[in-house]
This record gives sequence, C-alpha cells and structure tokens, in this order.
Amino acid sequence: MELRRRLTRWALRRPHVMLVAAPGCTTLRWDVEASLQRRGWAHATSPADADLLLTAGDLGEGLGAAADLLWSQVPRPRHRAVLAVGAVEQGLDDAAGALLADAADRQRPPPPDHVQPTDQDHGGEGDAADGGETDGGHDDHDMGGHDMGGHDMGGHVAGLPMAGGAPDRDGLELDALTVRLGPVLPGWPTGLVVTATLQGDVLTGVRTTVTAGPGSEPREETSHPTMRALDALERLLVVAGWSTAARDTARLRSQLWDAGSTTSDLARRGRRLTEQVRRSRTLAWALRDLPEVEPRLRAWCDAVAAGLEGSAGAGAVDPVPLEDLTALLDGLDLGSARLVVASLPLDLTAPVDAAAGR
Amino acid sequence: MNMVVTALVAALVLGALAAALDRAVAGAGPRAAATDVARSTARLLLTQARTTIAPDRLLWRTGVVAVPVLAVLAAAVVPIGGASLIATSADLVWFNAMEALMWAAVWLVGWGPNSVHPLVGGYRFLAQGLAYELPLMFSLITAGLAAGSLRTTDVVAAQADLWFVVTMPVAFVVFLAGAAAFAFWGPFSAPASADIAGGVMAELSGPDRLLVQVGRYTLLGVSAAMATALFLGGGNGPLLPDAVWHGVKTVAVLAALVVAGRRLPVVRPDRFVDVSWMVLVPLTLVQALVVAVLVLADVY
Repeated sequence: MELRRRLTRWALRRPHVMLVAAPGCTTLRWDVEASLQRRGWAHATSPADADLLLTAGDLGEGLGAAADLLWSQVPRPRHRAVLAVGAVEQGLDDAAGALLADAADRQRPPPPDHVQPTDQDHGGEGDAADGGETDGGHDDHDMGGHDMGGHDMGGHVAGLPMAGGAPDRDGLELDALTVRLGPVLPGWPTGLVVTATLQGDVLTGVRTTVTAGPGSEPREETSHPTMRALDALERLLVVAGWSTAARDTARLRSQLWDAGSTTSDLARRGRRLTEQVRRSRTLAWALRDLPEVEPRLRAWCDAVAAGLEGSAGAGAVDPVPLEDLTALLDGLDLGSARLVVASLPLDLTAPVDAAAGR
Repeated sequence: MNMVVTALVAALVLGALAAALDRAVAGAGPRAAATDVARSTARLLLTQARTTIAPDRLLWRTGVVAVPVLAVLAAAVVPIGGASLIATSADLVWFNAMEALMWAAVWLVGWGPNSVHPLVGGYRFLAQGLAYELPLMFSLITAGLAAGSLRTTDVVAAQADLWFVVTMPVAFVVFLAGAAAFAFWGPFSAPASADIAGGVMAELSGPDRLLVQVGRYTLLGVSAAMATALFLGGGNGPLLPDAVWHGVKTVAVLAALVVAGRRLPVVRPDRFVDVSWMVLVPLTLVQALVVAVLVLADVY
C-alpha cells in the first residue's frame, strides 16, 4: 500500500495542466505560467490529457460553462482549482495535493453497494458533450457510462447533430458538419469562439463571438509590450507545430516575467530564437499562401528581439477588430484558420458578434 | 517462444529509447528524459480511460490496439544476428504491409471517438499517407533490387562488401522520412498536432493513450533498426558480434533521426503531398533506375 502510494506520488509529480484564464487576466496568467515553467508541469493539449483544470480570474457565464464542459471531459484522477492573484504558488501546491488525494480515492475499493461518488456538482451542465463516465469510481471503460440513447432523433445521435450533405467550394457533395472552435484550445486566444460549417477541413459560414461575457475584468492597459509579443510569438509557434521553438519562447517569457526586466542573457537568447524563427524555411513554406501571417510573424520577432534588447521596440500593436477576423477565416482550411487566428493581435475584452454571410 | 519474447522486448526497448531521445531533444535534460518516459508511462497507467459520446467503440478500440501491434509485427522481420523472428520469402513486402495497415489503424483512432479534432487528424494522416507511401515503397524495393531478394537476411548479406547507403543515399533518407511520417512524429506529426488539440490523440486518455504512444515510438525505433539492416549493413562490422553492431548503428540512426526531426516545424500535409509527388517520387524512381544499372554492371 505504501509502495503504491509512493509510486502514485512519483507518477503524478509533473501533472498536465489545462489553464483557462479570463481574457482580462493577463498578468495573473503570466504568474501561473511562469510558475508552471519552474515546476516543469506540462500544458495539456486536450482535456483527455489533463490532470488539473486551473481557472484564473472571473470567467463570466460563457467561459465558466466552457470550463465546466472541459472539466466533464477530464479523466480521473483529476482536480479543479481556481487560482487567485498573490496565491498562485499555494494554489498550485494545494492542487497537486488534491490530485494525489483523488488518485488515492480512486484506488480504494468501491463501497459494497456500488454507490457512485456524489461529487456531481461539476458535471457539464447537461450540454451533451459530457465525456461519458468520467465520474465513475473505477475504470471499467467498456460499460459506457452515457445512457443517453436517443438515436434516430432526426439527424441527432446522443444529442449531437449529425453531419449533413452540402456542395462544397468545388461543387462536390460533401459532408457538412457544424463545428465550434474554442473558447479553449492550445495556442488560441481564450474566450474566442468560432462557429463554422466544416466540409472536409474547409471552414465556411464562419461566425465569431467572444464568450468572456460581462464578468470579465476590465482591460489592463497594454503595458509589457515585450511580454505580449512573446505571448503572440509562442501562440503562433505552437499552432505551427514547432514545439522546440515554442518551448524556448515560453521559457524566455517566463524568465523575463520572473526577472522583472530584461538581462543580457535574455537578450542574447531572444536574438538567437528570433533569428532561427525568421530564417526557418519550413515555417515560411507552411505560411506561404497566408499572405497576412508571415509579416506578422516577423513583426512579433522584431518586437521580441527589440524588447529583450531593452529598447522600446515597436510598442503596442493595434488590435484587429473581430469583424475583420470573420472575413479572413471564411473558406480557409482548419490548419490555415488556426494560423491566421494565432497570428492576429486580438482584443477580446471588447465583445462583438460578427458573421460572414454565405 | 524465447525468440518471440526477445523480439518483443527488443522492439519495446527501441520504442522506449526513441521516446527518451525525443524527450531529451524536446527539452528535458538527457538524464531527466529517461525518468520522464517511465513517469509518463506510470501516469497514463494510473489514469482512467475515458470515452466520448456515442463513439464507435469497436472501431476505436481496434485502431488503438492495432497501432502497437503493427509496430511489433513490423519488428518481426528485422534481421538481427542473421535471423529474424518471422522469415518469409518477402520480408520487405511484409514490412510495407504492416506500415500500410497503419493507414487503417490511425484512421480508426481518428474516426472512433465521434469527435471533430480526431476526425480531422485522421484525414490528415490519410493525406500524408498519399504523400509518403509511394516514395517509401520505392526506397524499400530499391534495397531489394540490389540484393536480388526480398528477404531482409539476404539484403544484409549482400552488403558484406559495400553498404547500400553508399549507392542509394536517397532511398535511405526517404525511408527514414517515411518512418517519421507513418509514426506521425516530428515534422510529420500534423495528424496529432496542437492546432487540432492533439488530433487523433485528442480523445485518448490513460491506457488507450499509452498504447498509441508506445506504438508510435516503437515504429520509430523499429524503423531505425530496419534502416540499419537495409542500408547500413545490418550487423556487419569488425570484432564485435552482429547483434552489438546492429544495436550501435540503430541507436546512431535513431539519434540522428530524432535530433534532425524534432527541431523542425510541422510540415502541412497538403504541402508534403506537393513535394512528394513533384520531387520525391521522381527522385526515388531515378534512384531505383541507377541501382538497376549498377546491378546489371555487377557492382553488388
């Protein structure tokens, strides 16, 4: 038993984290990410890969519901925690402890009458996509915890709409599936929701909304331009699938945040990183037919290099209005659309609702 | 029976090595990387295997199990010390078949969970397959052509005087790139990349995720061993026993592959198809032609 406990502790020492930070809470998010970096905890790419769901700031109704939905898809052992300004380290320590407690709880034999644990208050508010029997106290995954039945309900299976047919941009009859991207994805501005029809991997009928809602904190002034540029660069590198460069960018950002101001070491590494990114042929090749993305990548690189050198740099970048984003995304394939979104300076604290006509 | 266990262990050790090298290049220090692999394995074993709404359970499970099984079956024809676990009259075709079945396996992993991102990941794998499959087949067959046999043991024996990599460098490089592509790793990890939330991996947790990861890294390690057998003379070498030489060369190939591949951004599948059909297919065909001429000139 003791051996098992120690093994569990060892296995979960570097939990994978899914962080949902309200759009207005940038400095708190930087605190959290710097701490995660020091601890060597990984960011999860999807809820299935997460151990901890951490939220920061007031999520408001929409983003709160999204966090509930994500939580319903996180497999056990798991823990959900809210992080607050000034209590990040303590919050993360507590979360790690609670995760171990959940693991221990899960390993205990179920009570004789097979009563499920009663911590149901976090289920994803009935919004279809519950991840099955994530609350189950045992991993008998063939049982299929969702008895939602409901087949043959006119184009719905288990509450989810089925794909229908429609002619695509080349006039071929293809499956058309309504999809929702966001509000939480890797390398994605948290709070942005893109709704579209997906045919193959091409997006049409794009609508963009922001779910942050009225609960969001007021916008912080655009101080820390270097941190913001590093943020943007990392997002773009994550989405472009350049994991080593994205890792280096995240490290620079966290170390800059910890140090408070730039150092000669950071400047040197910043220069090397941005040179490497600018010179990458593979990256340029991936961005080739997205004319608006590559100049922005270069602009982020310039801002990072200049900022880490200690010069004022390019200063704040004017955010792109969401209406423009909608038009940019329509007709792109999913991968290109993700790159375009990642490259843009967006301001999600000014709610809008824009739709591209089709 | 002993042979089966040995081959299985060897394949899994190669997989673990590939994973550790990958971690080392990805950011953990060299020593931390090995611990990291063990720790992630333990973590996934502790984690619940979750499911999704209305999944195609049978197909999903089939795909998840098929990935590591195919990796081990591919390992079965790698000749070590003059013998392989399974000796057929067409080992190269067997290896190719296992890798072609990966199309089905990965597609099922993407299709099964009834979820958008894995589905897109599945599509991407098929698009990528269209790109790498032909060049890969040509490079495999080029080695067979020079040896005059499809048996891997014959291919190794034919390299007693001259390693094939000398006369077929293109086939060697294309084979390794193809290996990275069917393990959807490194620059060819578009089917599982972050822009689609992990793609085919997005809905996998716990033991399911572990099975697919083990399969991917084992494929990578086994491919390095196969590349050594086909192009670097297998176990040929002075003094040391065959198996040791084969091991040393395999580790070197694997390290080179991981170091080169890990530092690159993901290649978008549509771009990869372009390059593949415009550049790689003609290039590997020319390579095969050159080797055919050399065979007629009795070089091998």
